[in-house]
Amino acid sequence: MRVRSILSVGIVVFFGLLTLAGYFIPFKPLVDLGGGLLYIAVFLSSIALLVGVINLSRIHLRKAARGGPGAGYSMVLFVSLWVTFLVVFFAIIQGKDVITIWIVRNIQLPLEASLSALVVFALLVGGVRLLYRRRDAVAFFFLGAALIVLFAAIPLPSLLEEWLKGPDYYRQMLASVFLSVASGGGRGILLGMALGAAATGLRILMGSDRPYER
Amino acid sequence: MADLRCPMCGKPNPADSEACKYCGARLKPVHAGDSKPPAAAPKSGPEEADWMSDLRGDMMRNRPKTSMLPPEPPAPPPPSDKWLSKIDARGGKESKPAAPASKQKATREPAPVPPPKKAAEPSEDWLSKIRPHARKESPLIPPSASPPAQSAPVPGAAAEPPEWLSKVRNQTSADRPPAAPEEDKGAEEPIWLKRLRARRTQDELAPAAPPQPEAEPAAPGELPEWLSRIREKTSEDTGQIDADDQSLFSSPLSPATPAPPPQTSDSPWGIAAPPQEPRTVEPATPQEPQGAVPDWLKYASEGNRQSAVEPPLGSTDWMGGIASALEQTPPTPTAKPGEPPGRPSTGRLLDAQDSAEAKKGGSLRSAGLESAPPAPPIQPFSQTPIPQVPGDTPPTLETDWDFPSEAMPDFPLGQPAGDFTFPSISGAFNAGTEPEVSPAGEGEIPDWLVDIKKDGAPPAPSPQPGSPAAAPDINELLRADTLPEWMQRKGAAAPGGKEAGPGAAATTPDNLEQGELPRWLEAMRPIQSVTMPTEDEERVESVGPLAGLRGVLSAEPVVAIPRRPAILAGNIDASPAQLTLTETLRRLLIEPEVRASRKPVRAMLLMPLLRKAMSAVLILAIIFPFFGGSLFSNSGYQPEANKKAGLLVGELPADRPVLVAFEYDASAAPEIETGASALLEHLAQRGIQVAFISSQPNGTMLGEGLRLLNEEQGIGMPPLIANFGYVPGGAGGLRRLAGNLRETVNGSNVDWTQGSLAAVNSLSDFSMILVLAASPQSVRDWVEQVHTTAPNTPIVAMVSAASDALVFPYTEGSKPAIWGLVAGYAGAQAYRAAFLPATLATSGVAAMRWQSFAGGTLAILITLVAGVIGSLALGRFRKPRKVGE
Amino acid sequence: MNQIEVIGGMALGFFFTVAILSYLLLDDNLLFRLGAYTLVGVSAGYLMAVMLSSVMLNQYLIPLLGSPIQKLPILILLMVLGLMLFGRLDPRGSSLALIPMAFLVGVGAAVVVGGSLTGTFLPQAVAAAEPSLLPSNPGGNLDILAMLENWCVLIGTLTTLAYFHFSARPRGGAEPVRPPGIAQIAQVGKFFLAITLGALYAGALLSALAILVERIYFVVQTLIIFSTGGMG
Repeated sequence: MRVRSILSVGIVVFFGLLTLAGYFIPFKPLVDLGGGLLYIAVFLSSIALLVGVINLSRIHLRKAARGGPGAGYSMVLFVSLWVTFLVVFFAIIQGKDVITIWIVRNIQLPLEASLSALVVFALLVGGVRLLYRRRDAVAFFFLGAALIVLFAAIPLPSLLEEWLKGPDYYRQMLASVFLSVASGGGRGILLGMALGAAATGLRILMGSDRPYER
Repeated sequence: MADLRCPMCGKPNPADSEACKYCGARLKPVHAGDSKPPAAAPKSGPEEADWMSDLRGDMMRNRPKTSMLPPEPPAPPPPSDKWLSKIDARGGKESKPAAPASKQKATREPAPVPPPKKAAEPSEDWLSKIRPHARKESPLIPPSASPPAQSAPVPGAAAEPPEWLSKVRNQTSADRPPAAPEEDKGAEEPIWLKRLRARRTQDELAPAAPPQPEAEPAAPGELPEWLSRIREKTSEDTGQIDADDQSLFSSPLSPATPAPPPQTSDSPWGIAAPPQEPRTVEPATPQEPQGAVPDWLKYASEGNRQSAVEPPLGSTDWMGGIASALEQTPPTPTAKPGEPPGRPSTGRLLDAQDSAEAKKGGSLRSAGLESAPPAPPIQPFSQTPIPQVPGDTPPTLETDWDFPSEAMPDFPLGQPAGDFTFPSISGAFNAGTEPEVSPAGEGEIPDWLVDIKKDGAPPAPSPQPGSPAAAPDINELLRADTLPEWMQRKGAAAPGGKEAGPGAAATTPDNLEQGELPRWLEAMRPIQSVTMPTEDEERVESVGPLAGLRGVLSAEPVVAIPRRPAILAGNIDASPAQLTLTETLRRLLIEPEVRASRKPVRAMLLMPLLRKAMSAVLILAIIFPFFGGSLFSNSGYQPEANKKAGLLVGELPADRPVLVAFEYDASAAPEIETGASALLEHLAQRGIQVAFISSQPNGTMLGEGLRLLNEEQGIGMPPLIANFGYVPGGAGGLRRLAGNLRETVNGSNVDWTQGSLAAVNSLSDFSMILVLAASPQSVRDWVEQVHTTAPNTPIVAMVSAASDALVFPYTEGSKPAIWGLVAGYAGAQAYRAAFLPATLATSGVAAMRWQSFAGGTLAILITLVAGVIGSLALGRFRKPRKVGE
Repeated sequence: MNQIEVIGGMALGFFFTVAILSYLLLDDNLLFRLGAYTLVGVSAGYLMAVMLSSVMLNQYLIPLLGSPIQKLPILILLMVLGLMLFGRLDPRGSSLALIPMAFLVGVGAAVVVGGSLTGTFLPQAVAAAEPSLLPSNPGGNLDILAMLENWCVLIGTLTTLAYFHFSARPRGGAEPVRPPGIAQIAQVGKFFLAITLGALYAGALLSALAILVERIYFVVQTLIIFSTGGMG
């Protein structure tokens, strides 16, 4: 058990630092070596995705076989998974992208787009109830920013466009300034995200964090 | 000279010894016809003949069953006991027959007391009256009790009466040998005392044999022969217990009449022990004689009544034994197994067989019990089975000699009570710790008794192996095996009876009923409700310096960690009424908390309605252009980054292709494809070739589909020179793509020699990278992995409106990573309006969609404003919630 | 693409769209669940097919098998590591997958660290410091609007970054708080963060609205086409 742990940590540290060196040291052999490691890692990531899908299929098959509530839905998932796999696999092998496109645009797109469309209702209800549930400065700033962005996004009424083009300048100015102010916060968020990602990655490279052993 | 082995302790003694020098037991049993005169019976005055005879009878009946009497070294009576000698003198004159009572208890004195003189004539009347009454009513007399067979009785033998008994009967029919004169023991010991000592319970002596059928039951109204003999003798004697009488008190197996107990001060029972309180059927209170009677004699008389609440007759008489123990009568050594019987002075434990026989006999024990079988007719020396103690056959105290089973209590002082029953003598001496009585009148053993001894007395029931030779003490009396049936536990008797559980069918005595636990009590029975959890050896430590290691001992033991038990002790068998009450109580307790957390009814009804109302408003605003026409202008606000994107595309060289990365999935396709279409149209307008690529699995398929859809709709699309397909690995794949383009996309069947693709070796050879992304992460990946490798290749991003704020910072700075940014549907419309005004739809589906989008945006704005106003207004009338609620 | 495929696709798209949008009226219902489970199954199946065909076959196995013998060890290594990774499917074989998983995590962590530091952190830090705090207009005068904008951006950047400082000293049983200076700066950053999140919220609304509009138009178009019996 201990040997296994040491081995895994050693693999992580060695190959990770080797790959990271290619980012900062412009040494071509090092960069090429990093590319080679990425080549293997990409292949393994594909295998990992396969393992995940196979596990999903196995779980739902068991659930469907066991019966009980939700067994029918699990069977629907299982059947749709393997039917889609077979169709798309052979379509790609044979180079018939039309079939793949058809599946993507007539099955995946309607389903996923409809789910995304439902989000607007949830967001709207949440926004309406925000001040009812929480009445503080942060909530006011939040809603105020949202209202400004929405206001700036509405096109001018076509009938009043000619008269409102002049005042519309101020609206655009307000939006521009607001966007700049918002970008400051956005930059702070980006910086925070970058620092957090770097810190997490460094913890893994130092062996402090071992998510692969879970 | 051969040594004599003590029948009690088994130790060798000189041949000429009368008593064992170790335990004091008699070595030589008393035989019938022994020349030794019995101990002088106490002689009483003529004026006290009646009460004395009664006393003797009482004493014989009340004799404790436990053989707690010490060994009986022959000792003269203390000369100082003048009163005792007087009593003896008086008793000796009496002609009261020392009839063996049903509960005659063996005294401790091994030496048989010479049979007292028969009582005067008046006693015969009461005896004759008693006899038929006893035969009618005595439940203790085993029904199967029968006159002993002529053959020698064998312990455990079932069929025939013992031989000795038959001989007794035969002999009684013949001329009775002259009774040996009662040895005057006046100086030494009163005769009545000797009789007491010589008494043996018939139960102790009788073998554990099945009830013997009576061969010669006495005729109704006729005295049994033995009794008649006793009468004859006592009528002649003056209180001495003759041999026949002695036979009543002595074991027929006794080889010799034991010597009277020495009346010395050293003798623990030199002083006459107070009469034992009988615990069996007792005769009625005899008439108290005139004059002063010692209390102990009164007690002996009055206490001889049978009490209905007393333990069953014939039981082990542990109470009597306890009483005897309390009187500090030393125990009498019991015979060891295998020892020749005939130690009448000792009490032995009956073995199981004896107990079984006794139980079957059900003689004295059943006295007073409703279900007691009727007692057999009283027979002299009948081997009446001793009532058996229920349960495991506990050893019961036996006597060395058999005693006439028939209980012919001696009622010299009067008729017995009406409800008096005459239990058999076997029951009287059954399973008890009666002190043995030394055979009375060793010198006056009747001939029948002698014959019995010659023929070999039936072996007395052997005591249990290992049973103590000494008379049981109080602890022994309280042993489970010596306890009476009603005192014994039900489960202790059966093997593993306690472990049988409530469901076990425990044998209950007849007088007890199976108790039922109430349901609430039974539900409280503890059960194994918690399984002890075990520590997981494969647990990985997650904190501390040992983080990541397996098999680390936990700081807290597994058992100390609170957890929900795997097995709940909730297996309560509750009635429906109880469940209902429990549920009501639960609701009463929980309801307030639920009510507190529950929203008001009004809000509960309003929220779904509010949600549906908002949805309806939004959908109406969206479909309004179907009916209302165009209300809004065709474009909106165009940010600076949007303009930069257009300007950049307008300045791209036409000979270098543009890499278009489709980094969105199907969920964002309707929004992204509006901007993607505009940008692709702009590229098509410029005549710039494009290559498709994607780090999403279905990205290129979406791109291909968009291109085909636009072509079908007549929308100009740029020429596609290559579809690099799917690049796996996310950021790592892009990093690899940035490092080596051709090697990364070699599986996509790309013809690198075609057109402008021949000059493309890396990403930097593209004029622009157009990233169509729905999420900011995809843009970041392209910026972080590709831009650092190809910093001179501008990146233009078309993103979702939701990602605008997070992607916009990449557009700022002197060397921005993203040169142009088109965000959302509005941005795409603004871009088209700015750079593709000809393509800007003013009618048709595209125009209607813009109108719908604008109307929906306005509806959302109005809804939010209304919500803010309403919240502010409602907040004035309700308590505002704190932050974090 | 012939009309059958188009009409069939439209019908299927119409069915799934209505199934998902039925949530508005009926909440969680059979149609909605059918649509959700179908989406997961189709997406997973498509992903697996693409991985197997486009990636493993087309990009790795076929090229390696057709490559010179010198690349055979790479192929063997890939096969061995890939098979070891399949041990994740069984708890008993999870230890076997430790080595490829460790390799994957190590290389991925390096990519993330390198990219975030070189692609986001450094450029954004430079970009935040670049704007002049006293900008001048083309006329050489102080551009107040630009100055305000630059100052807002800078202050917003710093205060928002300070808000993400979650280190605090323990104070016994009391609630831990940030260091004194950081706490005040974080309070200002909280408002900038609220503005940014408000803008993001509005953008999400607009994005979802655009998708909703497209879906509604699709449903209406499909109904019109089916009701009119043809495509115009």
